[in-house]
Amino acid sequence: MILAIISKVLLAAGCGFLIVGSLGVNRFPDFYSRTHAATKPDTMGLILSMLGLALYDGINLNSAKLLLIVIFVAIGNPAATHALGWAALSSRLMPWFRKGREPR
Amino acid sequence: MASPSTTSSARSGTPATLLLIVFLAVLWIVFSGKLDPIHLGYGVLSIALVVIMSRSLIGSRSDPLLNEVLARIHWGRALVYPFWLFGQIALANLAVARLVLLPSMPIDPVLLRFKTGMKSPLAKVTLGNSITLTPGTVTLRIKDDEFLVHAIHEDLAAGLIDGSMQRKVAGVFGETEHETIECELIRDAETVRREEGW
Repeated sequence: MILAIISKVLLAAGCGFLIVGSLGVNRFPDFYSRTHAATKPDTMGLILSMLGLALYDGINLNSAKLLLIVIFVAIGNPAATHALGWAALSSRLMPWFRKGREPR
Repeated sequence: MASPSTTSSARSGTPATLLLIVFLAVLWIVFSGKLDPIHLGYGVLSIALVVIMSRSLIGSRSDPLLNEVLARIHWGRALVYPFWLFGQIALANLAVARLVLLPSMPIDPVLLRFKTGMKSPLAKVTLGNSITLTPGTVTLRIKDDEFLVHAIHEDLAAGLIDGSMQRKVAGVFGETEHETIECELIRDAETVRREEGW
């Protein structure tokens, strides 16, 4: 019972982060900042959702499998994000900076 | 703070291949959940295949440094580190969510350029991945000992500017010279053009 409630709270929070991430992709001004919005809240949303699902049926072998997904995403996601950022930098894409910043 | 386990494993050297086999075996059993000879046999075959294919990556022949690096890892800290990192990720996620949801969207992107004294590639990759995993900061480039990081706001990179994340990673890998050297903040296109030579 308590486990089911925790599971639902985790799932709801995970969905919340996924929605925030999608909003951020739309609102942020340039590629680099959108990379942040597209990848980070997603990782968090996925981790929370997977934890929620792992607890949904009680703790069993499937929970371990779901936790392994979390670990793989935690290793794979930053690698992919870095690849995106590095590709953008290599093709000389200028990051957006807030106006009014003076060159030093 | 050298623990007894660090010194004993440094003497024999942690066999990377054995670690890989144990890891894969646990993984196989968790995923398959079946313990009959047929399924375990498939597992042994698969593990052998993976070990053979990744021989050049993890074998001591192509990278004699790896075993040395593994021997210096502080395993106690390595176990605690993911939990610390998860806490950081959760906190930073809330900060990014706030930036996204505020109507004024007060983002102020900044490029950070800093050098690290860490020597082992594994430690640098771990630091780079941790930076990217923490919302608000993405590792754009690691060249030799120089990191280039894009942060969506200076506050979200505080742990990098004061070097606390570098210290954590250095602690896990038993690196002694981890001081962040000359962390530079770039906030305008002119400086980027000048320093990158675009």
